[in-house]
Amino acid sequence: MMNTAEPLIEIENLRVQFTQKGQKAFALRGIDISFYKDEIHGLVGESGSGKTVTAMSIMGLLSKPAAKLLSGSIRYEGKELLSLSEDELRRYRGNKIAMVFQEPAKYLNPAFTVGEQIREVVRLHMGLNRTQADARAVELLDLVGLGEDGRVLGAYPHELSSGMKQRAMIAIAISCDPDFLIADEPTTSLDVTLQLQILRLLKRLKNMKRMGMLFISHDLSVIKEIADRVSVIYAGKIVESASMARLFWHPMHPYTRLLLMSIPDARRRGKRLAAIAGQVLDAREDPQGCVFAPRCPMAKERCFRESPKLIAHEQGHMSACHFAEEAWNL
Amino acid sequence: MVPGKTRRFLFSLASLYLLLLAVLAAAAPLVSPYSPTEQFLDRRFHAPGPANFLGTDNFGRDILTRIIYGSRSALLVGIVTVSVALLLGGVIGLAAGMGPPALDSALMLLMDSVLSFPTILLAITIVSFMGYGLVQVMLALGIISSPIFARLIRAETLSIKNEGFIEAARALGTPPVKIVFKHIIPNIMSKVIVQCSLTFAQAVVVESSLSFLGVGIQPPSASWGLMLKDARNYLVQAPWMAIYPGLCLALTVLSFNIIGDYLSERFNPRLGELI
Repeated sequence: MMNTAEPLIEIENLRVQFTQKGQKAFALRGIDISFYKDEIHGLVGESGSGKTVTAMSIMGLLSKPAAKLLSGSIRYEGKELLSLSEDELRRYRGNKIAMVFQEPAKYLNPAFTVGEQIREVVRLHMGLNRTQADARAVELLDLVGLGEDGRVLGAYPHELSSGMKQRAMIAIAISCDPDFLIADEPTTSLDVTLQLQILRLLKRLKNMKRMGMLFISHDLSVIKEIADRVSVIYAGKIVESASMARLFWHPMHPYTRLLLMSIPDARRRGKRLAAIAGQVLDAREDPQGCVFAPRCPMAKERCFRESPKLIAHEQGHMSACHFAEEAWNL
Repeated sequence: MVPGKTRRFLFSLASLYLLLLAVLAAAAPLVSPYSPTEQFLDRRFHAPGPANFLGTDNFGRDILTRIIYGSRSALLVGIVTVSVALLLGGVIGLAAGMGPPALDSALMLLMDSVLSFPTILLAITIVSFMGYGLVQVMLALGIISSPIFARLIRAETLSIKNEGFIEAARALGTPPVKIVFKHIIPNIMSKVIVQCSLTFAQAVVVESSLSFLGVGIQPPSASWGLMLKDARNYLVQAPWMAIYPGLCLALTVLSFNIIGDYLSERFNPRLGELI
C-alpha cells in the first residue's frame, strides 16, 4: 500500500548533535522520512541508532541544551514544527501528536488513578467539563479493552498488570484523537502473548481512527506484525525505506539484508544465525562516506569516499546505497 | 516494608496521645480547673493532691492548668513553624529543582549557610532582632527549619523530574505549572509529610528551650519551657514542678518522632513500586 497523498509529517535532513562533557556525538546524521495518515510506519534499528531521538524530535522534547539541532525541518501538515514556540508546541503534544512509551510502569503517574490521568488530558486539550471528561474516560477504556473491568477507572497504576498498564497508557495517548501516534517500543517490556494483543490493539485503533503511526522497535519480527511501511535506521541515518512486503522480500540495502538474515526462522533450524561483523559506528565519528561501509561486506572504495543519498527506486522503495540493486544477492 | 505490629501499636499510642493533647489544648478554658495565671500564695509548693492534681508551683499556680495552657503554645508553635518552613522551603526547593543550575546553586548556597548555624544560636539571634514573644519565636523557627524542607524538596524534585511519567506528561502537552502541581508535588508528599512531623517535634523542643532561656514566650504566659525554668530553683523542694512539664515535653516529641518513623517506613518504597 503506497500512499500518494500529502504526508502528515515530513522530516527532512534532520541532524541532531548531543554534547556531554565536551564530547560531541552525532545522534541523527540527516534523517529523511515521511509519515502518512492511516499508515503504520515501522522504524527499526539497533539501540543507539537514533530511533528515540527521532521520536523526541517530532515531539519537540529533546532535552536542551544537551541536544543541538544542526539542521533540518519537521513539517506537520506543511507547518514547520521546529520554529514553533514552546507554548505553541504544547498545543500539538497530546492533542495532534501523542506518544506511547516503552515501560508503562514508569510512564504512568503513581499518585493518580487511571481515570484521573485520562481526565486531566481531555480537560486540558478538549476543554471538557468534569462529567464529559468522565464519560470520555469510560469510553476510552472501553476502546482499549479495559471497559469490562469497572475497577480500572478508579485504579492506581500499581494495581494493574503490565498489559493493563500499557493499555491504559494507550488510552491516555489517544484520548484527544491525535492524528499521529508515536509508539516507542510499546511491546518491548511485555511478554510475548501480551505483545501480540497490544500490537492488535494498536492496529485496530489505527484503522478506527485513521491516524498515522510511527512504530519504533529494534525487533524486525514485531515490526512485521504491524507495519505497513518500514524504515531502517542505522547510526542516525535512514538507510532504507519501503513497504513491508518489499522490504522483506527485496531488501535494497546490505544492512537490511543482513538484519533479515539474523531473524530466527524455523526453516533454517539448526543453522547458525547470521551476525553482522564489526561494531556500530561510533557516534563521535563523522565519516565522509557511507555510515555502514566499515561493516558492509560489499563495500567498495566509493563507499568510503562518498556518502550515498536516500534515492527512490521503483514503487517508492528508497535506499541509501550506491549498490542498492545488488544488496539482495548478499 | 510494612511496619510490624509493635510499630503499629506505638504509632496508635502516639497518635492517641497527640490527639488528646490537641483536644485539651483546644478546650483549655473548659477543661482546666484553674486559670493559668491565677496565683494562690497560700498554696505555694503544694504536692500533687486532690485540689491540685499535679501540684502547684512557687506562686501557687496549678501545674495541670499551666501544662494544658502550655500545650497550646507548644502545638501552635509547631503548626506555624511547620507551615512557614513548608511554604518557604517548598518554594525555594521547587525553584532550585526545576530552575536553571545557576539558580539551584545560588539557592542551595543560601540554604547551606542557614543550616551551618546551630539551631538555638540562630533562633536566639533572630529573636533578639525581632523581639521576644510567641510570634517572633514562630517566625524564627519557621525560617530556621525551611532549609531542611528546601533541601529535601529540591532533591526529590530532581529525582522525580527525570521519571518517565514527567516525560509522558510533557509529551501530552501538560503546561509546566501543572506538571509541578499534579505530577511532582503529589509524588514527593510522602517524604515531606515525614519531615513535617520531625520538624514539628524539633519546633516544640526549640520553643521550650528558647522560653527556658528567657527569650521565648514571656511570663506570665504558660509554656513548658518556662515552667521548667521556674522549676529549676526548686528541684529538691518541689520536683513535680519539673517532672510533669518535662514529661509532657518528652512524650510530645517522642510521639512526633514515632509517627515520623512509622510514616517514613510506611511510605517507603514509594507507592508506585509497591506492586
